[in-house]
Amino acid sequence: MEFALRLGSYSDARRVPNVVLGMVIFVACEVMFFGGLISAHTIARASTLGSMGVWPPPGQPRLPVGRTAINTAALLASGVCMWLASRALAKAPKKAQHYLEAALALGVAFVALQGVEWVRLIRQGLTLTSSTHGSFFYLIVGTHALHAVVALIALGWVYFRFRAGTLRTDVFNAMQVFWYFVVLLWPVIYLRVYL
Amino acid sequence: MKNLGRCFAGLAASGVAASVAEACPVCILADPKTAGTYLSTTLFMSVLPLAMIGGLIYWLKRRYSPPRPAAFLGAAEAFARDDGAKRAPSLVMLGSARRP
Repeated sequence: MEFALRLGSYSDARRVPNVVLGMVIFVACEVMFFGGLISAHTIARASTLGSMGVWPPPGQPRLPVGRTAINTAALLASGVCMWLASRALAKAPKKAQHYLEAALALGVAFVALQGVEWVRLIRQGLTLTSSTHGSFFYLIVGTHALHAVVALIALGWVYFRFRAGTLRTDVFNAMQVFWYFVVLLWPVIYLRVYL
Repeated sequence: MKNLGRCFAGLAASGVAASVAEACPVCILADPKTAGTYLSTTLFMSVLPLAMIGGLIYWLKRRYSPPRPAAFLGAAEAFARDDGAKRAPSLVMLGSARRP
């Protein structure tokens, strides 16, 4: 028996860019973080339901489910725009630019409208210290908002790099990963916290 | 093997001791619905990282594994196919081939 040897190179294998892999690992850590927060909220909610029989606790303002559904649709639309931008990046740069602008605008609209809702809830009496419901709401939604703001800043930077013609594909892909994380996490939070 | 047995015995003893000591307030004192929610979220948080890591490894392996070379490829064909890639070459074992 003998072995046939081949002089080849591993260059045939496509490599995962470091920036993309790093972003994927970071997103996995954030998923665990939000998983812990949502689990704690679920347990607190079940405990309150067991003792008081109602959630949110009595005397607390109700969350704006309808208006937040519109915000959720805007954020999901921004994710779709990001996906379309990635598809058009190589072949139709002008189209990709418009899709990036749309994703940015929809993301800014989401954060702004969420801010408006927060101000309204604070005026109605739902604060970080008013109840367990308020604490969890501002902690979970606020942490997501922080991620959304950072994602918006990064997306803005990517957009300007794209306009300047200095955007690398792997950097764009890493930005995509983080944007999809922010977009896809929100419906989970909406379903668990708002509904 | 002996140490593994001791580990399992220790874990089992701590499980029994915890229930005797009523060490977990959620499992012992809470109503059954809360205890059920606690256990289900614990299960979810335990499975989530395994699923993510497993999914990532599967995706990386599936998408980025090098193309499988044909079996029993002779050395001459291999040289002919290697069309002068600029990067440094490396050896790849293909498998066994019997001499005719």
